[in-house]
Amino acid sequence: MTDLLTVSDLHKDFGGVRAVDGVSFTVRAGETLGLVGESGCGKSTTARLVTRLLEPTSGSVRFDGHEISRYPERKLRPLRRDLQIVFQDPIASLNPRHTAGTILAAPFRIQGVRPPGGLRAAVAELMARVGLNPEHYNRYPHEFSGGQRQRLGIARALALRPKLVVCDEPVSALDASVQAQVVNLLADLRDEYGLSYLFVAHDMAVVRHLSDRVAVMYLGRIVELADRDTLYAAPRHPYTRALLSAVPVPDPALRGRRERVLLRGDPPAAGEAAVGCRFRGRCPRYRDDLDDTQRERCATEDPQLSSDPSGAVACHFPGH
Amino acid sequence: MPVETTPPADPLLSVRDLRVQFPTDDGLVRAVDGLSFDVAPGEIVGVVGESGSGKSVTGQAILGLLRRTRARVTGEIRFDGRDLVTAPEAELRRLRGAELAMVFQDPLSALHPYYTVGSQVSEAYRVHNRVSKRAARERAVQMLDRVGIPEPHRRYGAYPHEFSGGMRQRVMIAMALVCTPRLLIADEPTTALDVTVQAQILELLGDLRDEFGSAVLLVTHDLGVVAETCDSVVVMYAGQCVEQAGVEDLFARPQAPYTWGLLGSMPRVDRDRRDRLAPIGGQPPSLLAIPPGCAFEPRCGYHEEVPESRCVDERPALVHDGQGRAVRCHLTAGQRLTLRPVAP
Ligand SMILES: Nc1ncnc2c1ncn2[C@@H]1O[C@H](COP(=O)(O)OP(=O)(O)OP(=O)(O)O)[C@@H](O)[C@H]1O
Ligand SMILES: Nc1ncnc2c1ncn2[C@@H]1O[C@H](COP(=O)(O)OP(=O)(O)OP(=O)(O)O)[C@@H](O)[C@H]1O
Ligand code: SF4
Ligand code: SF4
Ligand SMILES: [Mg+2]
Ligand SMILES: [Mg+2]
Repeated sequence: MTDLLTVSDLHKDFGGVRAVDGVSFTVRAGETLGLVGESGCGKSTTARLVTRLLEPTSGSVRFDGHEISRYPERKLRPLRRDLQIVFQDPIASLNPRHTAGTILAAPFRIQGVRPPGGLRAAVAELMARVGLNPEHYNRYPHEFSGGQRQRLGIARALALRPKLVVCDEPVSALDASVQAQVVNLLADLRDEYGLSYLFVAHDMAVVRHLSDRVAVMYLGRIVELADRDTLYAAPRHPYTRALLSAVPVPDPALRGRRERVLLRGDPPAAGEAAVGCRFRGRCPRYRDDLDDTQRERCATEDPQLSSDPSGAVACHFPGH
Repeated sequence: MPVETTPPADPLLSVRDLRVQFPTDDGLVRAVDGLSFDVAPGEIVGVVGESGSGKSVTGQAILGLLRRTRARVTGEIRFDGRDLVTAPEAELRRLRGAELAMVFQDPLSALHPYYTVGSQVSEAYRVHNRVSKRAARERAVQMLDRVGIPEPHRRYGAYPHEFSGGMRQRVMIAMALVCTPRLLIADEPTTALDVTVQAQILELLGDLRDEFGSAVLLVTHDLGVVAETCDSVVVMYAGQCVEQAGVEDLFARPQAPYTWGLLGSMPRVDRDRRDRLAPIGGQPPSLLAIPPGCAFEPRCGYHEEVPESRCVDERPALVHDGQGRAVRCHLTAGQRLTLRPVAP
């Protein structure tokens, strides 16, 4: 598989706050890479950097052969055809004064694309494809339900058959029954059009459902990246383990029988540079399993993401 | 309207045919539409249902918070023998805080920004207990310690904005439990929190129930949270209870087609991955025009199993089996047994 998106040592500072602090990953053609982590760890900032809605402080973003990290908008515009984003909050990302038809025609207009059967037919087809009634062409966003609005956002992103769609929590605001409809839609569209997704979410179950590989972020860094099945079956970073064990499981028979790694404290907010491992303060392994020499290493040396055949992990003493 | 059969004996809270209607410019919003369920003393009851199904409004009605609004509240809310729907305001005020307490989703909006967290907890205690300021302060520090605020003596004087979301939620819980209420209504207390913090708060709620014996009505939309925390569950759809059961029963032997749909639509980390999820098609009905028959009928894949289009014409009654289990569906018990989808 070829790499469609390659991100290297990406940084974004807001004032002194290091929201993204040295992130590297690739998304291969046809692949879905999941990106998970707790609130404030830098997922949305990463999503906005790779779609160049934000300019990175430093680092490189290579998309489809172009180094786009410093591209001006003029040079980005033609690439936007192939690089799209879907947001969590469909109502905030859709112009309330535009009808569904106008919203979905915009990508064609902006890119100067004339669909063979005419714009109106292309929009109607698009609506049908994402499960919206084409007769609702003249409806405004507020006249659709939450799930329908999210379909509208997806349709807009897919209008020109992009290569990569960055999905920033596209189903987080939806109820379970509707969420499943939209998740299935995303999977179908991917299979049909050969799309690649960078799929950002905090719901570990949804990410597992859609992703081929999964990256786990903590405080502006990727701390583990592995194949889906490997990551969920045998997480190696202490944070990944804690995160997975905290997911509530809808099976009362397992209550009290699952191994729980309870983290103390809250996820810290992104901040200044720190010495040593940034997870140290909450790390159960540091707290319970390490001797003083090992702890010393965690306290002084910032663990880097290092790869081996089973994935990549940023911890001095990972599990196996 | 079919008559509902009798529930089990001696509940702490007994809600019967509760209706809450909001007159609006578009018409009458039937937010709660004939809701019935019970909470036993010391029991943690989960209330689940999709957005707009009436979970929060139910909590507000129990606490009497809708009284000075345009909402019309009818039916019965029996708490320890008293009917809260008709109780005088003075009595409700006395009960609120002392015997009935509430924790909301967003603790920042419920905590006063200009008072220290400690003084808010001790004030909550002094409203219902004739004690000195010093005694109340001691009690507050004790509660802050109990809910896991580190260095409670020092943090007593901190302001809400100095706390993280998880710590604020702990303060809210301390405030709600400081008078050891008999019923705590917790409306999505962890929805705004990260899963690792959610796990801490849910564990705390369980521990506190064991320690103080408070019953908890835990409103959530997360069936995982219910499975890990609750003793029994009320499943709501369009303002009605469609199923109530003990937690193990509900997950092992769900009876209502809506519950089947909810359970089937969830991706789960504890099961093998499937290629496709099984969503419930369509959307919940508008509360301005709830179908006259079964509210779930337009989305239900089983209505053809019921003869004479009863699902369309006749609202099913909530039928109790006398063992704490209740279902609202026209399917017969035998049909439900054979039609229930097997878990993947
Ligand atoms: N425009 C901005 N100005 C200042 N700080 C920002 C800005 N955008 C994000 N941040 C900060 O950067 C950090 C990362 O934020 P980001 O939105 O990327 O997190 P996230 O992982 O998407 O979180 P969530 O799960 O809550 O969406 C946070 O500490 C946030 O407060
Ligand atoms: N003051 C009000 N006036 C009119 N309608 C209202 C009012 N309060 C609530 N509603 C409506 O009542 C219905 C039930 O609302 P409620 O807040 O109880 O839902 P919920 O189950 O708590 O949903 P969520 O999961 O989104 O919190 C909704 O359709 C809501 O719009
Ligand atoms: S490097 Fe040390 S502190 Fe950091 S995650 Fe690994 S064991 Fe924990
Ligand atoms: S009463 Fe009919 S429509 Fe309603 S849930 Fe039962 S089978 Fe489905
Ligand atoms: Mg985000
Ligand atoms: Mg609510």
